[in-house]
Amino acid sequence: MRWNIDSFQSDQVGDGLIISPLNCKAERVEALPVGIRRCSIFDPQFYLPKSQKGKLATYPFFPATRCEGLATSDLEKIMEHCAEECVRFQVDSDFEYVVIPTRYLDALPSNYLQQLDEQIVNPFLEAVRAVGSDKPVLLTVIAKAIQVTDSDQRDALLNWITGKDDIDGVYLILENARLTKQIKDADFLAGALKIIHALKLNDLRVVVGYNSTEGILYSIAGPDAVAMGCFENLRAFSSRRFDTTRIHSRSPQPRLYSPKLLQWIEYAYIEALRERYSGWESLFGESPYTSLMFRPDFAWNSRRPELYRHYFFVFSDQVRTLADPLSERQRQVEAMVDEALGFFDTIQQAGIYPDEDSDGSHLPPWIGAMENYNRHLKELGL
Amino acid sequence: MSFRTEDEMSSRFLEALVPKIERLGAWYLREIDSGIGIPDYLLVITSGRAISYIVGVELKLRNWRRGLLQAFRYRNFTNEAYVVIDRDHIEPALANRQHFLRAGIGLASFDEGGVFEIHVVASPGKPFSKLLAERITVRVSEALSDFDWDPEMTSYEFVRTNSRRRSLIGFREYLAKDALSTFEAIKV
Repeated sequence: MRWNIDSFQSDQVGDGLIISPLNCKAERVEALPVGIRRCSIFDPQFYLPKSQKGKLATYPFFPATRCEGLATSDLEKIMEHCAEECVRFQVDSDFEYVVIPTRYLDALPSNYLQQLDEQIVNPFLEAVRAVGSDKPVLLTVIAKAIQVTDSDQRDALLNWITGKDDIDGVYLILENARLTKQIKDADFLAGALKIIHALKLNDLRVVVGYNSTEGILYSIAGPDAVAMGCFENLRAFSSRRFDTTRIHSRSPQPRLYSPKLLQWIEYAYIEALRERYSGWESLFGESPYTSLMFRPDFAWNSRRPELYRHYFFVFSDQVRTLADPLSERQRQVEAMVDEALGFFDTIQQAGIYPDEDSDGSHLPPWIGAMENYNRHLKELGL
Repeated sequence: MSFRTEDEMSSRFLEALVPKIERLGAWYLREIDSGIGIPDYLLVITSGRAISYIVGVELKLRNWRRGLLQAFRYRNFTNEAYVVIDRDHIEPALANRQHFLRAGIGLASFDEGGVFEIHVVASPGKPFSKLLAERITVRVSEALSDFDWDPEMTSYEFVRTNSRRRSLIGFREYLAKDALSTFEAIKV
């Protein structure tokens, strides 16, 4: 959190922050400068309402805090109070939006949208009316992979969202469970573009949460914001992050973001690049942190702030160069992908063989997704 | 006949090559966690009470590409690295030998009869990463201390000793009787 605030304030990175109650006590959120709160989004994180992980307990409106020993059947009973306090907290704190949270469900029972309405969405919409705020309202939506790739399920989800007159936009989370660090499923990426595009056609604001580099690809569908997370578990949504029963896993290998490669490169390849690839430093862009990290004695560790502040710095720069209109932006992203694939080719020519989490194998699916998305636009007559 | 599992291949590999490795005066260490991967074997040459040379070995039944990617990572903390593939499945790897040559990673085959052949000789060099080489040195030293080996140096020194060239030739001579001729034939 501190790094994100420092990056936002000192490095002028990004347009705002997403505040995570899991990681930040309520009193600390309230103490943030008003200038930060006004351009930031508070994500209430009701994903696992029974969770007592991290700092969630410091929020009196969090369901498990409100009701000790919370059972799922209690949700509807307590939600009216939770919703009103949560909305009031966001309004009083002067955040940019009022965010309606959502629950995470492992499976999708046939009535789950109705369940969400009854347990969370309707009580929150009531609370927004009761509090009388004029702040725009974002509805948190987790789209599971099947809802992203299957056109019928996608339409059902979009119909549900666009049927809500009282919301101004969506805090969209595209869940893609995978074993690789990057999304390599062209159908999923194309489906994500179609969802963002459909929401924009319906005049809704779209903030896409929990992105890795695919945030750049998503930008061609015109979202209002793409969130960039620092740690790996903030660059891909997983409910495990909120789960107290989760077994502690080994820290990930440190990685450094390369804007030219559109990839996070594991530190195990940095020294090989230094030895074999002329001009290797330029692959990583320029930030105030590179000179320290490129020292041969730099102690790589996945918790070093320099890795993430560098990422924020160069990725933010990359996003700011994205062009308008969207057709021009797509050409620009296509060129970025072509250039990155060209760099990966020269890296292999130089005798460097990164594995599937540091190579360019996620980029051909970006091309496939853009082709699929273009066909979709053509079918819509756009 | 092919090996059925990597464990079977590994056991046979040890039976066939340990005597040669021991004659060379080298140590072999199985599955030492480097922090970025676990090589099937590390062959370690010591010079006095210092580590002077490390070779990483990755055994694969057939997946040459996976082996190449793993062995390439081992070059962060070894002087050379080899992929050893079941001889019955070596052809696809040989058809892609240019990748091994380009990466400087050695390619060898091994069969149930204990025949070991080096097809591409690894390019020797300092480990890519000082940090990871220092880390493996500590772990290797700890492992060797179980054999009453008392390390003098637990740092990056093994890449700087003068015994490197002698050790390298020794490995080729001992591990495969025709390794040097293979080496000359492909003119690396």
